[in-house]
Amino acid sequence: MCDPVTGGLILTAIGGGTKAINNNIALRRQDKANAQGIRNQSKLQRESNQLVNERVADIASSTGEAERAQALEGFLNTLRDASDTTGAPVDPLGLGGDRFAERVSSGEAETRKQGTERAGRLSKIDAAGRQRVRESERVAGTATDLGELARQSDADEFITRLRVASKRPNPIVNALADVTSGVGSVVGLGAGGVNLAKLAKNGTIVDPFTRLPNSIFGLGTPPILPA
Amino acid sequence: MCGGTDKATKQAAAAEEERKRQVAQATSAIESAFGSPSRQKQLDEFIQSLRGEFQTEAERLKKDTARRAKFSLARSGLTGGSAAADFGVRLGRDFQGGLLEGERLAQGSLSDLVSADEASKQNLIALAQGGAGVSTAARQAASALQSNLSGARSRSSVASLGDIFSDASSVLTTAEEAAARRRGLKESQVFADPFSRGS
Repeated sequence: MCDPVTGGLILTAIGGGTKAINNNIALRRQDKANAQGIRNQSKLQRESNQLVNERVADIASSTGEAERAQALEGFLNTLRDASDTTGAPVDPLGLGGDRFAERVSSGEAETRKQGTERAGRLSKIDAAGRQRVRESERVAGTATDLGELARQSDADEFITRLRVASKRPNPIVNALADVTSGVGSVVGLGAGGVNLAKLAKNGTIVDPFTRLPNSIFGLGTPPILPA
Repeated sequence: MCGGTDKATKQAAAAEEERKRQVAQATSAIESAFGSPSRQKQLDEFIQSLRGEFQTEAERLKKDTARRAKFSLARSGLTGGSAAADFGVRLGRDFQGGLLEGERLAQGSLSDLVSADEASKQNLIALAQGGAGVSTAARQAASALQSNLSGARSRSSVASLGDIFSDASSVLTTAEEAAARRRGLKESQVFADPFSRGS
């Protein structure tokens, strides 16, 4: 059986070590929770990246050809529907003669040709603007989707903070460790104090029974004290 | 044994590296998409078409005004005179002004499209860089862009060219009204004095 001072030291070490282990376990759990939180955020970031990449690919392949074709079809349909009224009835009684009729006919043909050419130009002009309106609408849609992911990210981050905060050292274990350390300190310091008193009284710290010197801290000596 | 592990730190560092790589890749793809030859070709076709529209409209107006001037000057007895020469100069000047105005409008419309492309590009880059954090701003910017494009369409219409021969037309109108008054006076004299026969 060891002396009180040694025992005190052992108890102090046990208390301190237990507390350190308890704290370390809590830190590992917090780190694990943080790591999981980071993995969750990374997953949401990958989803965000995918949305952006899809939108970029969509714009890279965007040409405006569909808008142009649609606009051209609309213009040509309008011209076809109105073809009977394109030329004004300038000779209802037919008094002009063949030359007049030929002139009117070529004029109408020229009008139809110009109408078709103009429809082609207008469709190209309108298509460019409509294409960009479509692209901006889709970018806005992507921004809305990213906003939803942002809300998920905020919620997940809040949950992670709560999880990390909950991974605390076991308070009971720490309390017991503190008590153990305290007892050890009291025992050890108390026994050491007695040895100092012996030294002051006897001028030596040699143990009267074993004739072996006590150290100030009483290492390796029996705990028996002289009367 | 003492202290925690650095698992979270390593994962955070790896996640940040991946994010940077993704941002760089996305930014490069966005720049390529908006700088592609097909998009530039479309812009070239756009301004060529717009120039064609304005030029055709200007030429049509010039033709109509010239035809009207021919008969109006003849009715006023000014054909071949200095007034006819002056009117020809004015017609040419107005036509030139109309062509330049048309070119100005065409270049303005092209600038609107280029600005729209640039705004979309910056929006996408912001989304790629900030991810979810800038989504609200990007959504508002995209909505503003749609409004701007809708308003810019009016600049691409030949109606925005207006009547480039308005001054010349007013001169012709004045001459035609004067000729009509003279004719009216002459005819009223015929009715007033049946024996003069309007000579």
